[in-house]
Amino acid sequence: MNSIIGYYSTQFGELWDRSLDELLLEVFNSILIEHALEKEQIDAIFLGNMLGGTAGNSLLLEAHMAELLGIHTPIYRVEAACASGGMAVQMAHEYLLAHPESTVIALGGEKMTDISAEQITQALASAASPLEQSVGLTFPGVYALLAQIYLHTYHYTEEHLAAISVKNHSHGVLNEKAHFRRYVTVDDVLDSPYIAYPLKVLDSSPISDGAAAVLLSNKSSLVKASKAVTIRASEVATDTISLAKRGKLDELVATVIAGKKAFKASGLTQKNIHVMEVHDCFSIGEILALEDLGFWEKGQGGSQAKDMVTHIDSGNHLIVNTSGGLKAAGHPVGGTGIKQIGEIYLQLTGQAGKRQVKINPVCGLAHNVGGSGGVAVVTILSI
Amino acid sequence: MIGIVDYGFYIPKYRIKTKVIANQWGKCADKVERSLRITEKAVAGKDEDMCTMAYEAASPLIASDPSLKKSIGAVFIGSETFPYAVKPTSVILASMLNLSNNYLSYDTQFACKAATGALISAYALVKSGEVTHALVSGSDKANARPGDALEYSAGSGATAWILGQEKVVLEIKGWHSYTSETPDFWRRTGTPFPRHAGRFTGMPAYFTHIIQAVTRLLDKTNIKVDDISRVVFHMPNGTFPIKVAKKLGFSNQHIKDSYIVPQLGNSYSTSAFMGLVATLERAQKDEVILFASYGSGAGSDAILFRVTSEIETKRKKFRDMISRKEYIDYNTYAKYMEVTT
Amino acid sequence: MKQSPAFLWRKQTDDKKLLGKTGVILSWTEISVAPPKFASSTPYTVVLVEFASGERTYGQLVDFQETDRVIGAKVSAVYRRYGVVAKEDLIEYGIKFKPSLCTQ
Repeated sequence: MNSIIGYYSTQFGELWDRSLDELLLEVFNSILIEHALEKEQIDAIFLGNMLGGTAGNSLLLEAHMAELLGIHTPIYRVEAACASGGMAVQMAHEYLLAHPESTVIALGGEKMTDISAEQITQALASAASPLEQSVGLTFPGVYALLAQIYLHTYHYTEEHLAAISVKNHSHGVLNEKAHFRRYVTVDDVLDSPYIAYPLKVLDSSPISDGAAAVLLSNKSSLVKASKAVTIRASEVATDTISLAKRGKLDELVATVIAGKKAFKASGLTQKNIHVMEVHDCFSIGEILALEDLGFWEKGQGGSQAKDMVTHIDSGNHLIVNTSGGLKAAGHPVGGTGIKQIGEIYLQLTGQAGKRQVKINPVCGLAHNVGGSGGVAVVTILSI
Repeated sequence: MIGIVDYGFYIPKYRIKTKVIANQWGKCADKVERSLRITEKAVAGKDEDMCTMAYEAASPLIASDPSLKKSIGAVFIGSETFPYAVKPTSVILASMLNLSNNYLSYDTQFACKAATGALISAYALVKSGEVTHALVSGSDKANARPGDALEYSAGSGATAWILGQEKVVLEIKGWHSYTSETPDFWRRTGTPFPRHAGRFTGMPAYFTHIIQAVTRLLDKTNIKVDDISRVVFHMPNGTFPIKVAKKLGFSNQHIKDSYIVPQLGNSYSTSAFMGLVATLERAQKDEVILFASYGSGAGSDAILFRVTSEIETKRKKFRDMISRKEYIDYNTYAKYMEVTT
Repeated sequence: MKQSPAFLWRKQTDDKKLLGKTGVILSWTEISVAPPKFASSTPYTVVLVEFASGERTYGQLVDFQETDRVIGAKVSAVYRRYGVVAKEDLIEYGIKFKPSLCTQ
């Protein structure tokens, strides 16, 4: 049995004063201090980061960490675009399955604000296929193609997408680490400039700096002494990098498969899940996630979103993206997957402060996607 | 019989009116239009260049006879706006058309007669039996310094011509090229806009060379003005071709079907060729067409064509095609013309 | 990233196969924020097209009216310049799409 026993996140936002190295050091050290652990007690480190190479010309981040911490511990860097963080936890989980009585840290972070808007657009486009890039289709552009097909097929409008941003922003107000802590209205979203039609600035997660870390262990004495949640499932599925090569264009099959595998491995069903963090890199992402994970029927997502059925004040039994999602909490790419799992950890252990869900959730799910659905990681936790 | 066995053309759909350009520079629009006799000109879009346009002109020819892919033994393009000073566009075109790798190819420059000279060379290669078919194209996205007089006429377009010995549509009865060193118009390497010598481009340049080439051609072929049904001349503006036709003894009847410069502007290396395309829409079997290009620097290629019965199967619609157009304002024009080479 | 000649050469070999083909728009978007190579062309439209063979590809949509830019519209592949490159770089040509004219 593997458990998550701790979580720490930096502020997400435009953190001009801190480099990637400094962000990663902050989360690593903070989590050690919180749990009164020495760095020598960490058996391995799993690091999720997407843009170290393209945005900062820095690879071999493993050695960066070793230098910062003065250690010789094995460090594994994983890149899976926006799913880098979720994958880091997944690999940490696999490691613990093979190494009993061990303790590891999975962390992720990103430094995105040192380069210009055009340069970051280019860097993020590396999560799209070479052909998508060569015709000038940006990463938002790929999701925009998905959004167009969804709205056209199921007869929804941009208003249905906007509702997701409205909900997640109101959750973000309650999250002191969120990039954005302000309310937005549907009109605010509709009035914001287009990035890739029909997706607008306020349909899209921002460019953020930030880092987060979770402490995982299967060392019985440590788990007993901590606020712990059990990892019931951590599953990965892949799909094509190109949207053009997909079978269906109104779903992310990687999510469907990873979700089914996670429910099977955990022995749980959708009914057991009361709190979720899903991948809303763009508003359409959350709608597709709820459908593809089997919570909403295909095509129902638009109207469910408009009715804000997963809002913290809805009184319903499934609350989604209390962290503010990628939209309001921010999306320092490598850090997001960690933050999502960390948020579920906080909810299940009653540590979510102002955004604590009142229904005493026992099981939660984190859903992290890379690219336009090229990889999906689904993690189910329970207390 | 040797000659043209098929032909194609491409004119981009955008047009800018002379009035709009004149107003941009605070000139009297009516006076400019009247003196140049150009009402509007064709403009290639931002992502088009002489290579993409040559492809549009040539690809239907290959599509209608795929055996040409193997039998074309020579590919020549003439232009003033090649994207590369070194790297042949004729090869890029041949590659996009999926021709074989067994052909002679080069790009030619001789101002507005770059392509017609290549046509004559191609004719000789086919006539001698050295190649079975030759592909010749003239294409330009012509540009001019903003505010210069050339801005009203410099236009875009492309034509493509297949030469061969079977099923000839336009038999080549004879040609004469008259050439002399005359500095009327030029563009230095590495500079974007051509320069011209004002009124010097008239009598000593355009008129002398066309008149000499045509006169000597008629002499050596023993063909008289009365034998000729239609004429096509290079069209740098709306007045020169009419004047030279008159000087040579031809009437408005002879020139009217080729006289397209008022609606399309001057597409430089394909200007005279485009006039020929317009003429062929109306030409009839057995008619003799006098064709004379002009290239600054300077020279004129005069060619006599005879129309065969094959025109009925190969005639291309022209006027209908060019009537599909979209007007643009000066800002859009400037954007489109940012990248010409 | 500079234009790689070998990359462009391979890409052009693939592009040739699609020239002249007609397909249907499966989806489209208009890009307003673009990477440096395309920054001066914004806003521009990109379409996902499916050919009769079932093969799909992407390309920019050109020479269109807004009424042409809808899911289900017929488009044909044409050959145009892609992006803006430095004065000394290799030019990139590629497949773009324009609305299919019924009479063609």
